[in-house]
Amino acid sequence: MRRDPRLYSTTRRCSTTRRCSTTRRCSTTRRFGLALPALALAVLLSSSSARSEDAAGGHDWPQFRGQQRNGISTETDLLARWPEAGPRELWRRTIGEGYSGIAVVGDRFYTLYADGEGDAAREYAAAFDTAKGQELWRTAVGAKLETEFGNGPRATPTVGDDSVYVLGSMGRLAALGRGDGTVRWQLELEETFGSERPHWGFATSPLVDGDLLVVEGGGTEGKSYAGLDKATGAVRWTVGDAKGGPGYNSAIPVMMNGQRRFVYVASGQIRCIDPEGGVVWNHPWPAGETHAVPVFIAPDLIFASGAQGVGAKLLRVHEDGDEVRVEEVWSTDVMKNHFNASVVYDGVIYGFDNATLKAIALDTGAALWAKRGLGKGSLILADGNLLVLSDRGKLLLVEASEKAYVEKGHVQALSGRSWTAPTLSAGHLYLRNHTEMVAYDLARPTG
Amino acid sequence: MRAQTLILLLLSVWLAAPTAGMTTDEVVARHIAARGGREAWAATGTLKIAGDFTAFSQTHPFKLYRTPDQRYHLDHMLGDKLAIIGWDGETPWWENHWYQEGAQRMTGADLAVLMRDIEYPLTPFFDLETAGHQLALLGEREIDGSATLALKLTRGDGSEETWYLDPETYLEVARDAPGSDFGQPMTRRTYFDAFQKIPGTEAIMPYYVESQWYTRDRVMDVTSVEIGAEVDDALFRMPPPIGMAPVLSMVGAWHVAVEQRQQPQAPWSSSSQASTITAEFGGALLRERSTAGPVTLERTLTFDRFRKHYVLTSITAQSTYLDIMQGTLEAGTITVSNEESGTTRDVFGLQLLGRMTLHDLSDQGFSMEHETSIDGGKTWFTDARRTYTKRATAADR
Repeated sequence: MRRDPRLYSTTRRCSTTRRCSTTRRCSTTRRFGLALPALALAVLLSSSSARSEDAAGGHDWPQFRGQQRNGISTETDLLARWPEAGPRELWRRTIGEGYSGIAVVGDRFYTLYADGEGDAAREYAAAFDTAKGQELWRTAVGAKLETEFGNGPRATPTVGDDSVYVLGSMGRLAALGRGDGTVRWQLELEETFGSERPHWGFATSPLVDGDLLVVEGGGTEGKSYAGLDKATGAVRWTVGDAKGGPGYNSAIPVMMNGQRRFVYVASGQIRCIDPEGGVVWNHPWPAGETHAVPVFIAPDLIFASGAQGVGAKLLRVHEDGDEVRVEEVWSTDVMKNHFNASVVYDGVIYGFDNATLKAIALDTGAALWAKRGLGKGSLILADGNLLVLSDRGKLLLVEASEKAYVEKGHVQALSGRSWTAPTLSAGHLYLRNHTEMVAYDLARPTG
Repeated sequence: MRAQTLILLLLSVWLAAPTAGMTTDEVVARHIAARGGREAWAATGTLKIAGDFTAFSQTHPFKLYRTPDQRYHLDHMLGDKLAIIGWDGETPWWENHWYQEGAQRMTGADLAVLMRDIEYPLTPFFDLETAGHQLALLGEREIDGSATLALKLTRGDGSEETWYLDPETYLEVARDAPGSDFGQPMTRRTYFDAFQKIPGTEAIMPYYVESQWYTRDRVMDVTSVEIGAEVDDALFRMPPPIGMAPVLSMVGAWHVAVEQRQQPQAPWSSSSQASTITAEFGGALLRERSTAGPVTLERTLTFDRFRKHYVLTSITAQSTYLDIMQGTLEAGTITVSNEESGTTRDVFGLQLLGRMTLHDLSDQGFSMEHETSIDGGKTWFTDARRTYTKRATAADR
């Protein structure tokens, strides 16, 4: 064994004193009310708020980062440990370039990719059947983005009642019929909001909330974010400051103080807006590119993290009538999410500190354990385990534990640059890179 | 009494620490011993290290050559772009296709990275005194949840870095040092893992080295190490700029036999002159300066790597006009003309096109011919021939 596992996978070699502090952290966690399992948390959110996605069933993954945009699936009865050869592969098929995530509703999934060469190169939104991964329809959503770090679309489709909402890299926002991909309406962000295509293309994922579609318009002069009538594409409101400009940060839905809100990072602020586009609160955030979306921890916490030396902050929002105060609980440089966000579970934040998978304590921000060798990976959480995809296509099942990095299975699922986070729906895990998609069966056998 | 208890408590904690009471010299000695000792390393000679290098989430093979006197050559890919880095003891250079094709001198923050990288697979602890480094023990520090022994290294140039050693093995765990992101200075953390013996030796080195900074991640995963490798010294030297290698033999002091005529039927007139050709800007530009009586000529030759052609300029004190010619190298002959550059001359209502050929290039000499066309390039006549032969200089004598 060539590797020195103690050095390579650094779990916390702490003193007794530090172990005691971990115990204290757990008690603090209870004070925060964060020791709820993911399922209970999701039920709480769903019961007290409008669902983020009206088309989604219990096992659907209808949008970027799942039903609550928090990277957590409520599914249970998944394999607790994988066989040596990895979980059962359901199918594998080629796909064009792109980093777009996979959204699943029912027996169909949706993603974006690029196809064609030269002037004929286009980005497409497409639907596939979940059973075989066969393409059912595709609709062009603009020209193909070409960049030095990989071509093609970045945004993930959002599946609504009867439409799929997609955003191409060049800024074409469209509502497509779920059945056949027919264009119901479309608009160009640059024309509508006066924005300019950012270097990595328009990359945020639309958010459906009731009859509203919340999108990053990317414009200046108060047009950073916008609320659209999801049925027609008509702009209802815009919000932002004078400087504005496009970023890469998708909005997340939150339920705070019994009110539906949206939170995102833009223009040097973490911003919370209401469904009418009114700004509820702002909190300063380092300027620059923050790609990773914030994470909402009910009832009143927001975790945000950025790379490029930014670090992470935990905010607590105090609302009392019209009075809103945002408290910075802690900040740290031990977690710097780049383009893939963290998940929060049972008092622990799991995420990639640039290229190191880490667990840090929710209440203090202190590092609990670290695991290198997975590059700039991504992760989601389901059934008490992390599903981690390394940036070179290695898929791992890792116990969501504050104590140590515990691997419970792995498989080399993809090769090459794999920056798109996994999607889990109905026991099936969907992965993609620039050339390939693959689905695995993670469900625990019954009977 | 309480003070005594506190002192005893602190003393007991201090004594319990594995490095309690150790000096930096003792820590360094243990580190060098953990790496196999100086003698083991002295026996390795030149190392050829190979494996996989990952950057921008893409993995490709790499080769690294390192001599005992720290000459260095790394051939790898940064993502999907070639990057060759070299150091011959004098000139730090790289050919980084994120910046440009062709080798260029490494400077600034990038150079700070190279000056550390060339130590691999050793550490600066092997060479503290000679290099003029200062070392201070900082005590225990935590890296990603693990205890380490931290040391502050101040290099001879005043730059500082922190090394973290395993308090039990004294092998290096990590280093925080000045780094660079596309030339922008920023601290880089490098982790050292997977220590093992180099086959056939007692020398121990990290086979897995990962650096992280900003949004970057670089992994060097070593799969083979060959000791006593024989390598060509040229591997470490900065290659000439793109396109210039075939013409660098023109650099030197020359005797030039000149033949000239005004018209195709006119007799040739002969003369001779001295010429000196120098290489400037790292060999990117050759400059010739020659004098024959009252006429001083200056000529430059370079290669335009973007348009993939040679550019030759010439001007004399007599003409006071800069002629620019461009062309390519084919079958050992460089042919350039001013047809495309637009510096043709207008004389008595005629447009005079110029064309120059450079041929028979060798260390001992070369030839140059100039042709003129007055019919738009349909026909040409040779109006000057210059034959260069090596001229003995004072240094030669």
